[in-house]
Order: sequence, then C-alpha cells, then structure tokens
Amino acid sequence: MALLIAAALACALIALPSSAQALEVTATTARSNSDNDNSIYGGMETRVTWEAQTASDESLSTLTLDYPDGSTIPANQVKVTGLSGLNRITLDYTVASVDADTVAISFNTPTQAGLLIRVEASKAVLPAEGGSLSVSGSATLANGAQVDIPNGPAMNVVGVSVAQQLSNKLSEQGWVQAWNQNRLLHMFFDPTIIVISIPAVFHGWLLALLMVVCSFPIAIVIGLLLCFLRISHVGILRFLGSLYVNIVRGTPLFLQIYIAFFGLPLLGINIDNYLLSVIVMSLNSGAYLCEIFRAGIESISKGQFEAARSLGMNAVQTMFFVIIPQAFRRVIPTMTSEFILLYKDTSLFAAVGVMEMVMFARSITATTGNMTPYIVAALFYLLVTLPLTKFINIFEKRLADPSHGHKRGGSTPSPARLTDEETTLLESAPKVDSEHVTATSSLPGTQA
Amino acid sequence: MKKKFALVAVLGLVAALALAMVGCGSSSSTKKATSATSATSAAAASASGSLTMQDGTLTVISSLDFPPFENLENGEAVGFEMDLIRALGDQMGLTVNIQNQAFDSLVPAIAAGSTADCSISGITITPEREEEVLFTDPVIDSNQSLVVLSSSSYTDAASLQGKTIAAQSGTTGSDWAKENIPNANVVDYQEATACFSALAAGQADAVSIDLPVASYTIRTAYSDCKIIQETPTGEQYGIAVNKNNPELVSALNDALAEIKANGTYDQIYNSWFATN
Repeated sequence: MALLIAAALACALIALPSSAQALEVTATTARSNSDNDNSIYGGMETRVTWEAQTASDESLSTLTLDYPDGSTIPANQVKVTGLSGLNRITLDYTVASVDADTVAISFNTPTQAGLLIRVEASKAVLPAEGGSLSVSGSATLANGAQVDIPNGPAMNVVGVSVAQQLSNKLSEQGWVQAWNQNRLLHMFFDPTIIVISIPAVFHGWLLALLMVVCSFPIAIVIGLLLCFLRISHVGILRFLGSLYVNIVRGTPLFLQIYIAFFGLPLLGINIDNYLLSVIVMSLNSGAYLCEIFRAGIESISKGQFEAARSLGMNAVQTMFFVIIPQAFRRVIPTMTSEFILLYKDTSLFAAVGVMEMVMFARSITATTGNMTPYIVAALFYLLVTLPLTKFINIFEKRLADPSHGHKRGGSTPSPARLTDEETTLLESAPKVDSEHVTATSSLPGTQA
Repeated sequence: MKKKFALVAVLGLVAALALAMVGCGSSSSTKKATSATSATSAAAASASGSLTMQDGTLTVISSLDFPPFENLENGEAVGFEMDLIRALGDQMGLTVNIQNQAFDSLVPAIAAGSTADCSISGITITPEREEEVLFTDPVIDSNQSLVVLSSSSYTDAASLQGKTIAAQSGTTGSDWAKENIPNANVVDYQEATACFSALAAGQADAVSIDLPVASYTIRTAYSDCKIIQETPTGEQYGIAVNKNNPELVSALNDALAEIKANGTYDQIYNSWFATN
C-alpha cells in the first residue's frame, strides 16, 4: 500500500503542472525468470505486467507504452485486460509495434471510464545489462486529449546469468530445435533446460548432502543408544527401546515429517526448517540403525563374549572393545545402504517446503511444464548413490572372501583375525549357530 | 565410477533415441504427428474413431484440493468444475472418469498425453502453458488474494515484504507472490490444503492463492484466517487438452457453449457461487 501511495503521490506531483489528467500507474512488475530466487534477469524471456488506474472520467482510445531501451516486446504477445473492481472486462483492441521496445494499443471502442487497465507483455526480453527499469508511455483519451503517463514504480532487473546465456544460445542451434521437435526428447532431455537446471539442482544437491551428512552421525549415536536399550537386561528399557523402534519403523517417514513440520509449531515449538529436517532424519534413521546394530551385535558368536569375560573384562569392556568393533565392521555395508536410503529420503522434505534437490527441480518443472529438471536431479542422486553402492559391493566381497581378509588380517593381531574366522564360520556352517546366521543374513532386509 | 556413470547416461540417451526413432517412423506413416507419445495416442484415437483414449469415457485429471472448484468429499470429487465437466460429459454423451493428481503435474501429464484426455483443475490460461497444451474457451474468471491469520497485523502485500508466503506449486498465486511482494520468500507446497496448514502452524506468514478458494476455505475450515488483499487479475481457467487433440477442444467448446445457452452453466454456477 505504501508503494501505491508513493506512486499516487508521484503521479499527482507530476500531473499537477500539466493540465491534462493522467492515468495512475499502480504497478510495473515482471515475472521472475530465475530458478533460484525471485529475481528478474535481463536478456531472457519474461512477462512484464503494467497496470494503471483510469480516473472515473477517463476513457482511453489509444495507449502507447515505451518499455526500457533495449527491450524486445513482441506485439502479438501483448494482452490487455480491463478490471472493474474484481470483475474482468473484455476489451476490444489491436496491438502494433512502433519499434522493438514500444507498442501502440488502440481500443476499437474506447474503454469504459474508471477501469484498471492491465497490459501483460509475454515473451518480453528486458535489456541484458539490467538495472532499475520502468515503463513510460502516453495515451489518447476518448475526448481527443493527449496525456503523458508518468513512470510507474521501477523493476529491479539483474544482468543475465551465464547458464541462461548458454541456454539462450543453445535454443538458437539447429540441432537443439530438431531434438526438441521430438516430444519425448523435449519432455525429458531438453538441452536448454538441462543447462539452466544444473546450477539450481546442484545447489539443492549440496543442501541435501549437507542435511544427510549432518544427520547421519547423530543417527548413529541414537541408533547405538536404542540398540543398548533393546539388548538391555532391564525389561522396561527393552520395552521402551522396542516401542520407539517399532513406532518409527512402522509409520511412513512422510507422516513423521508432516507431524514435525505442522504439529510442533502448533505446540509453540519453532525450529528452523533445515535444523528440523536434520532432527527428523536423525530420529527416523536412528530406529533403522538400531536394528542394524542389534543384528550386527547378535551375529557375533557367544564364544566372543565368553572369551572376553574369561580374560577378566566386564560387560561394558566386552561390548566396547570386543563386540562392537567386530559388529561394526560387519554392518558397514548395511549402514551404507541406510545412508543411501536416508539420502534419497531428503526428497520427501520437498512436501513441506524445505528447499532441497527435488524442490529446486520441481520449481523449474512447475514453470516450464517440462520434466527435464527431474532427470537432472536423478543424475545428481546417482552421483552419490552409485559410488556408494560400488563401495558396498567391494566391502561385501572382502567380508565374504576369507583369503583376502587373511592377507590384511595377518599382520594385525587378534580382533581382525577373529572376525575373519567368524566370517568363515558364518559362510560355511549355517547349522553351527543358525539364529545368529539368520540375524546376519537378514541384515540387508532390516531397512526394507 | 565415473566411467560407469557416463555409461549409464549414454545408455539412457541411446534408449530414448531408439524410442524416438520408432516414434518418428510410425508418425510419418500416419502423417499425423512428430513425436513418439503423441504418435501412439493419435493413432489410437483415430483407430477407434473417438475423441477420447477410451471409447465413451472422458478421462479427466484434477488436483482435488481446491474447493469450491474441485475437492474430495467422502471419496467423491465435488466442486464447480467437477459439476461442469460432468455436465459437459453428459452433453457430449461421455462418461466422465475423474482422477486425482498433484497440480504441478497436470499440465506436463496432458502435454505428454496417454494418461488422460483433459484436465480441469483451476488451471489459469497462460501463454507459458499454452506452449505445452491446448486450452478450451475460459470456463470461469478468477482473481488472486492474500490470506493471513486473523490475529496478525499484516494489512497488504507491501506489509509482507521479506516474509514467508505459502503458495501451491506451479500456480498463478505462487507467481503473483514472487512478482509482487518485495523480497518474499515464497514456499511452494504441493497441495492447496498444505498452504493453509503451514499458515495455521506459523510456518508461513501468508498464503497467496486464488480468491474463490481463499474465501471458501476460510468459510468452511479456517475461520481464524482473513483475506487482507483481493487482487484483481482477471485470470481465466480453461480445460487443458493435448496438442494433438484439437477435435476434443472444439467438442468441449461446443458443449460449453450449449450448456451456457441452456442454463445448465448458470445453474451450476449459482449452486457454488450464489451471492447471498
């Protein structure tokens, strides 16, 4: 409203000296053509909206709008709408180009007085160098009087981005046009959209990675704590542990996100969105990791416990110096899968407005109606998940292959050796300790 | 690892190209269209001699979270546009099958073809969307609005400078907020209802959404919210149809003209927007 008043004042001041009454320009805006924020870039297509209120005795027969120097305004893309209050009034008009940045609109029947006139110029290109730009113009009233229209509020236009320049260049290439002729290729692999998607999606990729890198260590700690609860000898602790794990694993992460993002603020708890994402992810993943750790610990044979105890270690020492080091090594592949799952789950936070990869991709898709940004996002996900999958495979092979393990384990004393023997044991004889073997072999399933 | 990654990417592209070739081949033989998807759907349509993918049925996709235009009530799609599309279906002698789908995926789905015949879902006719799909004549005019909590002190767009605005992804409301509220942090939600949840939860300071939806939602569910600004935009909703099916557009336009002439349109309009 302050803007409107300012505009009105400015108009009044300029209009006063001249005898003719002028329209009051209420808005000059351009649609953001950026993929990251709300900025308006010069040198690429946007839609410029200009609005002016005619006075109760002003009826227009022509309207000439002079857009900023260096703009390109296609006359056939100019749409004029009349609004009386909230009612749309269809206007009868023709638009002609005076020069590249000036259009002349003539109304075949003069507009009714007191209308809000909206002129939308689509596919308009503002000057590439940017700046604070405004639209000037003039009008002829139905009574023949000429009025100058003072500049309305200015638009802040940013110089064109590198990705956009590249995209614009690409769209002029013959092969790109031929490529886009095919609707499938255009829909999923449009080179001009790939180019503009990469910087935006990369930004989201970093944020998603940051979210998971922050939450995973916390999840490991939570998982270990839960795991101790679940294998505790105290009934109530065991019960609490399994209650938490079963509730978290038994409900979709999507619902947990909704509850955290829309429920907590109602209780008066307001946490930054990214921080809240990290908390939700840690709490969720902790429950899965708990089960992974538990299976890992239970896969270590009883003999290990007994041997450690016979050496005079107490229960805590046994756990931390004998059991966990061995179990941890075994669960590394499964933990990595959990990391991959958690990483992919960051996409769910798009639903509550956290700006991560899918959200960036979606905002481009929403404006272009094109699926290419999702393909770009998929490739960025693979950039992390494929190497990690490879790592799991290598690691699993090493665990399964005792000779390989021996070479490395040979130089290091007992704990590693014991692990190797354990592995061999697990490999060769399911009957020896069928319960523990089941626990290990069910590992990949724990996070299903 | 990089090698493998590149290999996957290349394989994907090769597969896409192969598909495209097949598409071009068949389309040149039918002399109808240029792309793979459209060629098959066009061929299917012409083979059955029908306007729609499935004989006798008009498959419609809509985001059923936009009352009073479309909404889910007891599992039933209700709303002005739902009644309208059913009336159009009756007029055309087609059974209407309505499917629920997220708003920002409607235009891409219609552009890709093959999943639905058309989409009616408060879709404003814009030049950008017209590049992807065809639109029928406008079915209704609409405007924009800003909604805040009744307890808040915001008075208009300018007072929301730099604040968080909730909007539905891909809507004109989202565009309007980005364009007209200085430095606004516009957060796009997938559903209109999530925007209001976010406002109620304090995740957003305001909702930027089509005026009829704002008034209806405040009246029925969010009585602790108020409209602080009604923005005349004069935007118009249309029904989106695949570019290779202009026959369906003209059939829908004819039916629309007829129900406007015989009073059915007014009857539906009054049942949802009667001023009292």
